Amino acid sequence: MKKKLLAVLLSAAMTVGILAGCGNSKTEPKQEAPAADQAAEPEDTAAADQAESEEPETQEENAEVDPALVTGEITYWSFTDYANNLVKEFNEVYPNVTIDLQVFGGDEYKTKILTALQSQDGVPDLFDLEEGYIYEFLDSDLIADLSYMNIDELTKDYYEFQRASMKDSNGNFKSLLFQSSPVAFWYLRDACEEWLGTSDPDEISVMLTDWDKIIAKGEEIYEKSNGEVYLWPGMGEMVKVNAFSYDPLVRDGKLEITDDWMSLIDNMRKMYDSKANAELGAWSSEWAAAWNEGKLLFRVMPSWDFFTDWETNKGNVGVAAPFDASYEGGTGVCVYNNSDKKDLAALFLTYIASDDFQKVNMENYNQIPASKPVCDELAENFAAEDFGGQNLLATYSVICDKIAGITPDKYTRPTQNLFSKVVSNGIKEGQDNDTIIENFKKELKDQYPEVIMD
Amino acid sequence: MNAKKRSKYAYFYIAPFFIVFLIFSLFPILYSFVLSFCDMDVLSGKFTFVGITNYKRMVESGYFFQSIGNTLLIWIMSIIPQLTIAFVLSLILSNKWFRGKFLLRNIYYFPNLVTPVTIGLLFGALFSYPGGAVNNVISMLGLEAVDFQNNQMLARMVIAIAICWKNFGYNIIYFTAGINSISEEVMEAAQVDGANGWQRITKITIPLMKPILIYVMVTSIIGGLQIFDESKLVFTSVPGNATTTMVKYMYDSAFVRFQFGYGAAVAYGIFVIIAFFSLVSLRVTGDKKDDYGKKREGRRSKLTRK
Repeated sequence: MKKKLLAVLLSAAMTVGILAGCGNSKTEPKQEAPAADQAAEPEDTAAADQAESEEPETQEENAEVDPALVTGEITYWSFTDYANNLVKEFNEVYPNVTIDLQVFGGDEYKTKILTALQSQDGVPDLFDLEEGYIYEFLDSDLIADLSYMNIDELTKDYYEFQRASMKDSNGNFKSLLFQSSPVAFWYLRDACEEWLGTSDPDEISVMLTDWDKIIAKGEEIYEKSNGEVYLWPGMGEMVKVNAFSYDPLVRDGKLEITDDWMSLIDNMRKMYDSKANAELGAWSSEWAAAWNEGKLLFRVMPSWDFFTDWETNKGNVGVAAPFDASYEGGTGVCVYNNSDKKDLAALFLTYIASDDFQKVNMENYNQIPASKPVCDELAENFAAEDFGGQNLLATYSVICDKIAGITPDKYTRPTQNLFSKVVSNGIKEGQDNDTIIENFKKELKDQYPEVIMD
Repeated sequence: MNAKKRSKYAYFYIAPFFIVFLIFSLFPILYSFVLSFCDMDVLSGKFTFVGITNYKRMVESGYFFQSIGNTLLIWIMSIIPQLTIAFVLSLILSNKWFRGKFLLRNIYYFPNLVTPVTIGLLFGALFSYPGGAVNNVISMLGLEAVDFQNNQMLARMVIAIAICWKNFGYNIIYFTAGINSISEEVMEAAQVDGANGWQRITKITIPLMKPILIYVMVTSIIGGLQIFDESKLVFTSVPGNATTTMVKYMYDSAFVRFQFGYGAAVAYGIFVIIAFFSLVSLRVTGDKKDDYGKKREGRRSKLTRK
């Protein structure tokens, strides 16, 4: 009898436990503590002492205090080793603030941060989110609205697209970007001298002002080189050039394929049928090898690149502004809303948004500044040795200025990628535009059934 | 210590397994079952009960069914050569006159020790177009390079080859053990009766290895229908999603698009499919006759026999 009773009780407990998951949780996230309130339980930090005063004054006071007097410890998670550079530079200025940085590689990071946020256990004070998935996260109350640290003022000189990228769907600043990653045409100078007659980035940009011109020039080069040299890497890279110049495919949960996107399909088809196109998989070994050997003239890459053979091509690389402006990748740093060290987190973000850090980040680590005045200031008399003395910053500043200030949402990048995949594959299989669009809609519906379609 | 007391201690001994099983197996199974009837908010982790919506979406999804077809095709393309090669090599390695069988058995097993991620990237590089190692050989022979990635069937075939290469050594271990367990007396008797090599394989070795064959078959189905790493890593994008397997479809739903409820429903869909094919396999390969070719008597009739 006792056994039966125990069995029943255990079963009941398990069932209740399981079904409890379906109910609405009564556990609300901890009330956000304003910066001033946090001072009620101060860390042994000078920064915390300063936080006793009103919010706007916090930053000013931070600036007045000797950074060496600021002490404390915060936790910071990232998916990239690059975060070590941020911490290193921060500690140069604030040597007594300890940042416990943990880097988790690969897909593991996403799950790790997600699980921590869901359980609200062991969440770091600061964490990085990658551009590819950041907009799945930003709307959450668990991520602090950075207005508590006067983010609007801090980033007022940022490029417009950078400011837009840091916001959630309600227009609140929820992350901080510390570099720009504009997309450009990467080329080898000697190859372009040989086949285009110039290696000057401005002349190349003027030469290639639309897809028709690129295709025509590519066919000419193919013929001249007896089929040895291609101008364009593949259809998929055309989307990278145009993506952020067009209205997003899904906006406010509704799919709208504008004429721009339709004409891109036509252009991709023309490219595929032409001899300008090598159709090499982006980031594949063949793609990188062909470019490094001068058999492929252009790659479409953001300002960071892992595929250049610098041993062979040092000083021989050039970067030209494409006819449309776009960006790819980027890391947003976020603050955990329930962290009791938001003041120190603010100090860290304030530092990496500062002009000083933006300059160091460019000079020491070749990261394009997120701030326009810093970029323009550094661009004066700038010459990159690896790039044949090119004023890279001037080129990138032109691109960054042109990128539209659109705040992406969780559909923006995935729909661009899906569009690129479905259109490329459809063209290869000989489908007409209607079939391609139908397939795109079908696959989008399968992935995001909530998206409204006509 | 009496028997009753001793039996109480036994519970302590078996407790660790059951505790681990409850926490890491049973709880996730039940949790994901509940999750499959809910939508989960990505960050707060809050569940919203949505009934059978996720299952309805799965059943109506052409892409899910396509992923089942892809999985079966890749599995069939890998399992047939995999078992054939493993069986033939086991026969050769079981020959008592064969020298170096220990070394070869280990060499064949090595691919099984390579991580799936490495195998995926390795085969992606081998079969890349136009400059992969395979295409270099093809070009050396004066033939035109083959774009494996953009041909649906060839792309599946490359993945099947990768899986076959990885697993055939593992099956050799089982088959060799099965062959070695066959009594030499039976073989010698057959030889005395005038059975040739082929007859000894088909009439003695294969029938006596049936339990091993069934085991290998069922485990291959369970493992083979869960293909993921190779599907994700060998080729990044294949026309018509031709290499998207069931588990990759689930992974993309849950961990790329953060639709955990739908991902859980797909996981249960996969469970049903694997269970179905395992049962079919058991039924098809089920041994209804004993070693002498007579129909086995059922348990009931044995018990009731006087």
